[in-house]
Amino acid sequence: MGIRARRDPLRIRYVALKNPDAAEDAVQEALLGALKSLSRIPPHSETGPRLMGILKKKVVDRQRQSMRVDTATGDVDPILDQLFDKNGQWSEAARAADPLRLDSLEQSEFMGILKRCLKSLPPNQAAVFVGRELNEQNSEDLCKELGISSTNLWVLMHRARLRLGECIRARWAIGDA
Amino acid sequence: MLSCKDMTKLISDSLEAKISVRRRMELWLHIMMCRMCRRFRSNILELRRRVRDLKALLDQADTVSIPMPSATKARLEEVINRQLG
Repeated sequence: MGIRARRDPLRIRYVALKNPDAAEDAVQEALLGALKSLSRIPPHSETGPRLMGILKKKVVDRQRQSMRVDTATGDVDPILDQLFDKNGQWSEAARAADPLRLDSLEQSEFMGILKRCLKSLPPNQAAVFVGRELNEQNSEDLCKELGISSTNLWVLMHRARLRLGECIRARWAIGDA
Repeated sequence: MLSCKDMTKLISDSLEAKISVRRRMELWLHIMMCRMCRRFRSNILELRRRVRDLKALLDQADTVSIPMPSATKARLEEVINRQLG
C-alpha cells in the first residue's frame, strides 16, 4: 500500500472530522477491515485504493452521525443574524466591516487561514464545503454520501460561504495566518 | 423583490447549479445596484478560485499536511500484529 495509503487517510480524516483521535480510530478500523478481507483480494489488485475506499465509507458513516446531531439542534445559523437585519438587508456591522481582500493573501497565508476557518465551521458545513470546493465532488454524489437533499446542500454551502468569508476577514484583520 | 439575504443565497446557488433566466436577470439587476451583494459575489468566486489553486498546488507537490505521528504508527502496527496473531 506504500506511502500514499499510509498518509492520505489521516489527512482525509482530519479534514473531514477535525479530530485526531477519531482519525486514528478510523484508520485503524479501515486497516483491520482490509486485513480481514485480505484473503479475498486477488493478489494483483492494488490495496491502496481499496483501503481508501473503505476509509472513505467510515468517514462518511461518522459524518452522518455528527450531521444528525447538527440538524437536530437547530435550523438557524447565528451567522445570518450577524450579517443581516430583520428585513434581510445587510446589517450595520456587515456594512461597516472592511472588505475581504483575498487577492492580497499569499498562498501559504491563505492556506493557514482557510484551515483554521474550516475547523471553526459547524461539521456539516465544513463537510459540504470540503466536498464541493476542495474535492470537487459532484453535488449528487455528495448528497448521497452525506444523506442530505440538494436543497440542504445549497443551504449549507450558502452558510459555509458566509461564515468562511467572515472568518477569513477577521483572521486576516488581526494578522493571524 | 428579494432581500439581500435571499440574494446571497441565490448568488451561492448560482455557483452550485444553473439558475433560471428570470432569477439570473434578477441577480444581475440586484448586484448592479447593491455594492454589498456585489462584494459577496466576488468574494465567493475568489474563494472558489483560491481553494482550487490550493488544491492544484497540493496535488502537484503531493504534499501532505499532517504526516502520521510515529506514536500512532507504532500503535497501529501493534494492533495489526495482534490481529495477525
